[in-house]
Amino acid sequence: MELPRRVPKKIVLGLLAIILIGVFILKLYFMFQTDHFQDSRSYYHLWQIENVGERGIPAYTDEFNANNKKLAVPPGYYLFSGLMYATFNSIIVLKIMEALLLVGILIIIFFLTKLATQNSKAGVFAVFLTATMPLVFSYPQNMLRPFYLSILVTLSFIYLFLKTNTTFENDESISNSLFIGRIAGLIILTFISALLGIHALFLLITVIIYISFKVVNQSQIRIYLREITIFITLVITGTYLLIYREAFREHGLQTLWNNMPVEYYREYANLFNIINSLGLINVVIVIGGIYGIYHFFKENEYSREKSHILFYGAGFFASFIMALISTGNPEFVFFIGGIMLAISFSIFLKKMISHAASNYKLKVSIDGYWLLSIITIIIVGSLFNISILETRSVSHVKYLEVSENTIEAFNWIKNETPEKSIIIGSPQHAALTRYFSERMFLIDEDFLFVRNPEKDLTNIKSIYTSIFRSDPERIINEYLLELGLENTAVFLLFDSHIAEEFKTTTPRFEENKECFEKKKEFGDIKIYQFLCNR
Amino acid sequence: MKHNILIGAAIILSGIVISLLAGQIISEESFKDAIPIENFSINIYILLNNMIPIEYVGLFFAAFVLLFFIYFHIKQDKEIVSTVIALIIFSPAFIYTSVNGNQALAGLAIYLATMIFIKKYKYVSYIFAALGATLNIEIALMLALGFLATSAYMYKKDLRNLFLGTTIIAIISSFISRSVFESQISLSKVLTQFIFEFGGISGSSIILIVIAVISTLLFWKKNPPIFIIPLNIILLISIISENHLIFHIIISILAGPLITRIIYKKWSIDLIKKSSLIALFVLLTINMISFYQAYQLEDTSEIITIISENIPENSLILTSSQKGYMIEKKTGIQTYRKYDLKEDISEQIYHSTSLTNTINLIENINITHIVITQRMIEDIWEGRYTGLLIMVRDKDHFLPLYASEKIEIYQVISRD
Repeated sequence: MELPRRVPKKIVLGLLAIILIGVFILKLYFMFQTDHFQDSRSYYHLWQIENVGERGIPAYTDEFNANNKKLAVPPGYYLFSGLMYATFNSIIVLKIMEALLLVGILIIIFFLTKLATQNSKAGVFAVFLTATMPLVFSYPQNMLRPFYLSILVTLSFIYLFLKTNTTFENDESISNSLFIGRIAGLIILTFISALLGIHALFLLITVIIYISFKVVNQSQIRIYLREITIFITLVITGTYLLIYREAFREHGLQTLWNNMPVEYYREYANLFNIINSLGLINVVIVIGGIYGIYHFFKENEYSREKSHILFYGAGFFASFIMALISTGNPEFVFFIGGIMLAISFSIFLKKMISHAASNYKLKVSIDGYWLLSIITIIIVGSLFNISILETRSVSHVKYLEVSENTIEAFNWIKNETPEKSIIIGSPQHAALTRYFSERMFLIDEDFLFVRNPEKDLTNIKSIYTSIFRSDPERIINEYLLELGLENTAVFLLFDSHIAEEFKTTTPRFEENKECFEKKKEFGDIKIYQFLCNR
Repeated sequence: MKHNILIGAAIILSGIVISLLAGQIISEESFKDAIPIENFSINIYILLNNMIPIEYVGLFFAAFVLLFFIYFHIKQDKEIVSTVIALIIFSPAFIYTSVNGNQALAGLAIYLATMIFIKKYKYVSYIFAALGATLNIEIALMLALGFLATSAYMYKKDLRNLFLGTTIIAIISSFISRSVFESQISLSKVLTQFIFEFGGISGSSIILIVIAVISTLLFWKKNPPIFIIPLNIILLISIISENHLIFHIIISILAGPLITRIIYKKWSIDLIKKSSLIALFVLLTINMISFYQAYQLEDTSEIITIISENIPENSLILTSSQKGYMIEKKTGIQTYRKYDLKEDISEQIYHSTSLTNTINLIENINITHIVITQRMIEDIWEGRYTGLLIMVRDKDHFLPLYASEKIEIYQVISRD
């Protein structure tokens, strides 16, 4: 096979454009598969976005929670999306925004890799790797994901930070307007990032690890780098503490884990295994990326390039630290980890190819090697991933899938139940109850400001699964007494999601016909009314 | 001159804040210290308690501590000293301890007095040290360390011996100290009690702790180890002995150099300096505001008024044992309190699940009224409506007299 001798830059950039447009179109195609969103969590985000559209700020108390619970909400994403939503007044704009954010992330990845390698082919290669991560398209695609914006802001910050650093190290004069402009950009990005909540900690951890590595390597740290570190630490930690101020006072350190019940946390931790990483990130990226990092640490000399790679490496570690604290968002961790590995792999490959070019007489050109790598990745990666995905050993995050039936059921609740009723279901049903039915629910998936989440979860589970006939009745009445809502109508949901979550094929209370009457059935969703109010 | 004005302003402001707080808040904390305990021992703190009205004991020591800092350190690096003083004064730890007058402040004041006199009037400093040692073992330990550090630095200047000596004393003494065995120290407990943002009302701000760590790392080489190592050991002791104020003061001292640098030194990028300063100022201010809010939740003066208006004098109240002493002292109404825990049946009453049992227990000890506060619901029942909280809804046995968000009062209807 005759491989091309030298690919012109225009073609490289053209290739980048084709990948970006392809990703954009594919993402849009998935986003518009259904009119509604595919998971319940998206409806929590939508509810908050609508709140911003109506009142200018997100909701800080949840009027639909039976406890009228407080909410700790980082406003960044909702303000941004709310502005879009209010301007065009349609969820189509939110769907397009998701696709644009994904493309934005890919563009930044291109620039980041190009900055580290001074080679646009490596940049395109990193973009290509990221776009082929199964995570990007194999998850249910029609969802709202606040973390896309966080990743875009964080990567932009890292790019600007490194770019400024490079300028500073090459040119001592700091009075030029470009430099000041970049510093201003960094300040603005820090503030935006701080408003995005826990994801901002990722940025902070990355910068701190980078600085620590530099200290360990005994390379000279510019004074301004120290100053920026102090600034970022203050702004990001400060804003985070402010947003979660009341939650911290209520739950202490548990706030970092969103006060999540142990059972949920265990399930969450189980997601971080090697099979999941290989299946969701792509086997080639994981192995290549990790080898790239290993290769980097093996070398001893210190260079500018190394300093850049350090930054990515820091990000990689940071993503694992984030895995511990950003509970409930494993996708974010896999995504950011995948990006770091893809960049690391590209940098490594570029180095290897230039090394080979300068040391050996090549039969094929440098570009030929790039092309060969891409073809190998497509073949090996897709074969391996298909085999992993086919065996279904990849345990996705459990999300509540929203179908036409679901929406019909929740609309029925809105139209046919008394306005002041309480709905009981899985915690994930709460977002739908809030958005479609506008009714109160007992517990939702946000456990902040819940005094005893373990007990609440056990109670809900007992309502569906207890072998004692009197348990469901007793538990519901205790809650009603506690809430001062003794004579309120109570409705219970049961569907395949609850069946899976609580491991029961039918609700046990069904046998107690005096107290629980089946009212309606939509597909697999059954709605019962509780009749034994004390 | 500029710094003197700053310090002066800080003191006046703190005076206003403290007097405002002290004027309206008398929390149960101060009374807890005044309760005679089984192993009664005379110390300077209890003696002073009998001479000065209890609300002002803390202020007395707080004023002393401030004076010490200003007098003793003013000749040194003025910027750092004024920053450290400001950090100490405008902190939940300092204000809380000042208005509650607990032994930590007394211990600190005595420690500082000892250090003042150690150079010129050695014997006076011995007297102070002896007074301080009566307070408790942690303060005695701190005094010993202080003596060792100062004398080693002043006379021999052999740092290696000092490090070794202080470390050995700190480790041995913390094992000897009873508190190590009595209170189980866990990381989460330390974090929630010592960090204000995590719920410790007299803790330090997490931002300050982060700055202290960074500051220690950055200025480690510049500061003499003689300064940092004893400080860190005392920090360790303060954590073991759950002494929040001393913890906060040391954190302030460690954070001081970096904050001073942020404020006074010229930065290479002015924009970042200004943004950082604004962020820092906003954070510390908001902490003070949320401290004030949290403190108001603990405010018991309203509860006292409600109790004295609703309950006749010859009654016996069942309520939180922490508030019991204060209610008795302020209203003259008896509360159910037992120092011997074996005799105390209040826990049984709170958590009994049978109404007959609850009524029997209550009638056995002749309780006439039950006072339930919001704080009690959280402390005793962990916010869940169980046990007595459900029983009191029974209108045949309990007559609701008063109900608000903060407090509920029930009269026990006797069977005869």
